[in-house]
Amino acid sequence: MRVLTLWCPDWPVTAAGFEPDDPVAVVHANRVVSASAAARATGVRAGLRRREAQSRCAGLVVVGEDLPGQARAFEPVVAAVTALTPRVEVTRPGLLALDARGPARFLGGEGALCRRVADEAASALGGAGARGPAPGVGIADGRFAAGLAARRGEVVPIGANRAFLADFPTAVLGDPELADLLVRLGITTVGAFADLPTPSVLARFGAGAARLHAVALGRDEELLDATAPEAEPSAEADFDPPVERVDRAAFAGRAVAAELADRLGRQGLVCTRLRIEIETEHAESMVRVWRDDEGIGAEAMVERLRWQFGGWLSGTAAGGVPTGGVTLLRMVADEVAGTGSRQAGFWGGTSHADRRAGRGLDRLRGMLGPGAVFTGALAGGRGPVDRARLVPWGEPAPGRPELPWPGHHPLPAPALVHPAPLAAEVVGADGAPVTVSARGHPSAAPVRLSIAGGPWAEVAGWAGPWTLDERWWDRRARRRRARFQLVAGEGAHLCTVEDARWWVEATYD
Amino acid sequence: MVEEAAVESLVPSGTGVPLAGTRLLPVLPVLAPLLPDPGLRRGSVLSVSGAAGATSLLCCLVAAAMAEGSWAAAVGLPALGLEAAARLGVRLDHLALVPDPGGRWAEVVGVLVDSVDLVAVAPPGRCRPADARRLTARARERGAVMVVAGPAGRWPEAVDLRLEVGTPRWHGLGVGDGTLRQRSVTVRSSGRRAAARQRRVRLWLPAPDGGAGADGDGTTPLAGVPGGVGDGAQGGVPCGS
Repeated sequence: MRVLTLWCPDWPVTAAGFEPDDPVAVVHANRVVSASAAARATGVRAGLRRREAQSRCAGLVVVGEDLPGQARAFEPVVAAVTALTPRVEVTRPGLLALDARGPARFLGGEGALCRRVADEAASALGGAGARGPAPGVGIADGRFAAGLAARRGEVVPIGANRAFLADFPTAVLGDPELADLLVRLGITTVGAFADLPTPSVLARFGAGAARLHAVALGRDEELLDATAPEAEPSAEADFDPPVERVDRAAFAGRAVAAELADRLGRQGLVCTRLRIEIETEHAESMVRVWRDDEGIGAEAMVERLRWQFGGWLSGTAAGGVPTGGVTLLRMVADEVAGTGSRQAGFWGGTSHADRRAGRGLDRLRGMLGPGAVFTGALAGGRGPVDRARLVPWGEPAPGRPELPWPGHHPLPAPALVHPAPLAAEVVGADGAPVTVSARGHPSAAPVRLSIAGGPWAEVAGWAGPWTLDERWWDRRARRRRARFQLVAGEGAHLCTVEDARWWVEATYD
Repeated sequence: MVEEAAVESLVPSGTGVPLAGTRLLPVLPVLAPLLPDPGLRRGSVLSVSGAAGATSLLCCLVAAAMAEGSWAAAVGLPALGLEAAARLGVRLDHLALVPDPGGRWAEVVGVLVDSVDLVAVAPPGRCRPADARRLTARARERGAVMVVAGPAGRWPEAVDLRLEVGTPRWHGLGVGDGTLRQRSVTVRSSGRRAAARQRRVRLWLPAPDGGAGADGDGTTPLAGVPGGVGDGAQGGVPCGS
């Protein structure tokens, strides 16, 4: 895919209202994150401690990092570029990308598109009173190369990524540990790294490095296994009455984000492109698309939402400031990827056995795909299915919730938990199916059990019902169930009755 | 251009050839009487089967083998109850799960035999003898233990040791009262060569604490019906906690 990237150099400095000639450093957590050109000339670099930066540059102005402010200041640029083409993805304040194919055809070539985008952005910045360096615009195959092309203001021809990338130092790959190791091995440029055979890189440096190797080969698009999902997973919240305050809307957005992230997480997916739609009672709407190839988690979704609100309320977006309260908030995972490929490699693991296993599992994941190899983790819940979850290999295991779960099925834990409950029939002495009344009383003692249409087995012992009324506060999500333990034949089962139907949830094998 | 060899030499080679003195994987003391050696012999193939309790027994083998930092894997066991496994001592973060290997199960087991010390596998309905032979040879070469789960006969090759769980009796559940608390089972072993002599032990699987324990008083005749023993009087109150 041809990607255009627009990059505003030293955006944190520009957004804070300084010019390149001012000696300025933007600091977060006592470390420099960005410095103006004047400060860089005296040796101030990103990553320096504040004290060290101040000692290198007399008269250095130190300002704290203000991401919402940066996003707000960037909004005029986003709005101006969105006027050219609607599919604009903001990677972070100061950096945006778009699919260049359509608009390039429309505007008469990629060079023309670059100039047009640069002009629009420059005039939007000028109009907003920003005095930073002119933004860089570049086009290449794939986002990674396009990002570097923007720094040089180049249009990289189709299929020329590898040659374009070859001279860059390995540090641009964004993995300092790997870059350090490669330099010690005498591999200083992206081109030299790309020359290594792919299987050896995978085998010796792990999956994370193999991903970067494909990037170095200019093939990041293929390996970024991100796809547009068939049914776009989304989560939303309606507000009635409308929400008038941003902090409250953002608070509600937290639940929306958590729901979306959780739904994706269960499928071993992570959102790499997030679309946030906000509507007001006066039918005004604001849609922005945010991107992060590393995956946007729930916290990051909320952060993007705050940025979007900030941009809208600053009045620089097309359509002006919203006039009514927010009635709808929707988050859509526009593009998703398996969590597996986003894992920092197993490299640097602990014991020999761990490394050997890690390599084998990396290999299996390569063979079968990200949703096939797992480890387990215990989780909280009332049913056997909820009490453990599969963690796709490579994803960090969630912490174990030690909360009590009143109403969870009694110990011991069943050794077989059927991935899909098995349909069953349970009848009493009169041959009629056993049901459970609303008050939790069984209609008869269970006498015979048949699983999945199989032969009848006499029930030798049973206990229950333990009723379970979950989410009773939500009419649609409410579930009323009753659990039984049944021993029949040689097996003992954990059964559930729901709407007069019996299921075998788990078996004590 | 860097030669492949330069990269290779960065990492100690990861072959699984067992070192002298580590030819055995640990096994639970209660299961030791079933084996010809004081542990699971690396490179051997076991089968675990039985009408009820086979999965729990499998978890016991995995849990003990992990005691010295080994990794294990379970292939084709989508219904494995992870909570029960954890209660039997399995380290879930060292257990690789490939619940649905599809048609590539033999390939998957091949990779795992190279990379972990114990692989539990439920072969699909039809397992080709050639696959079984190749995997057996590979496990022997790599020093991994393969445990075949499921009905005996699923595995077309002879196994070194066959474990069979039988006579399950549950305690704690009555008729309409109590809860399942513990189960006594008998495990029989039979096999080839040194394991040719049939052995059997009785054990609690699970014991009241969720683990496995010796049924010290295994000769006590158990009252009640086979499969479920009604001593609901001691069964405790079914309060979900």
